[in-house]
Amino acid sequence: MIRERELAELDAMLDATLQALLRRANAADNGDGMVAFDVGEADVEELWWMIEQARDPAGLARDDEAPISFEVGDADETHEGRIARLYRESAEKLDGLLSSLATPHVIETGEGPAYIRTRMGWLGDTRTETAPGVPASLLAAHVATTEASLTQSAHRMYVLAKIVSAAATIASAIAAPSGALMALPIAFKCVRDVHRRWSTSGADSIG
Amino acid sequence: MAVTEIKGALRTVAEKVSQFVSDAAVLKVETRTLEAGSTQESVLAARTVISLDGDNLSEVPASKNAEGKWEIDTVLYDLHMRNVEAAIAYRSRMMASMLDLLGSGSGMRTAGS
Repeated sequence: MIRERELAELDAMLDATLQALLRRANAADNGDGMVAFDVGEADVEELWWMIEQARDPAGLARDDEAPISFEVGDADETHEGRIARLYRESAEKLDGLLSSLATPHVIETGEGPAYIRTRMGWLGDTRTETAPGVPASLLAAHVATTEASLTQSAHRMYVLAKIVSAAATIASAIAAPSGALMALPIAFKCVRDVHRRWSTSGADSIG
Repeated sequence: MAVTEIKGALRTVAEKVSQFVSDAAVLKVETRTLEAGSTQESVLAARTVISLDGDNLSEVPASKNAEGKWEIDTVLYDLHMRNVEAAIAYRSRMMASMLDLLGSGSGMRTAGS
């Protein structure tokens, strides 16, 4: 179960990363040259590199030799290829998150005379059907499973909201007409990277 | 192709938010009993309807005992109330995420600008 305190930590980590990116964008706009990231994560350098490409798409073709690593094992992939892959991954993840929200959750526990079934819509509307006289232990197990499923669904919505929210911030750092669309895959990577760091403490994984 | 998919995803997010705003005014939780092996429709045992305007409706499972007094079916009632609590907690978290989504268009470019 994800506790509110843990989500607050994730919020703080994400906010620190976005603020670091905004400071770099402001510095670049003001001609202040390089500004060191104080969050100390290589992930942020990669994100900034992507924002730079979005701010100046022509630079992508000019600067294909810049050192950057997205994933282990993709050393031969071009920068354009990596960004295209990130677009594809982010589109798939967003589609998956939305699909999971659109599909009602059905929890079934037991069978025959000891059977409980709960159907939950994404808004939280819940309908439970149970056979009379179901043992208390089975009821308790069913309720626990239902609560866990609701928590997981709420976390998916939380992640989706964080991606869209981060995209709005990153779009303002890009400050180009196509910023909103370019921002979404970068925001996806940003939230995913921060989420991975956060989840090493044992919390849930993204999606 | 991916750009088209992302545009579609953004449109779906907007539709979801819109649907949530219009449908979030009421939260319904139902608990029903179902005879094992029966093909008949399940029977409503308990229902809670919570409205954002403050109107709440609760129907609890009860039956008359031999003395003609009403007795609540505590097992079904406990199951129902646990579901109500879980649904409220879920709705609360969803609401927070929706507010985050709705507010994401306003907090632009603040760090040192």
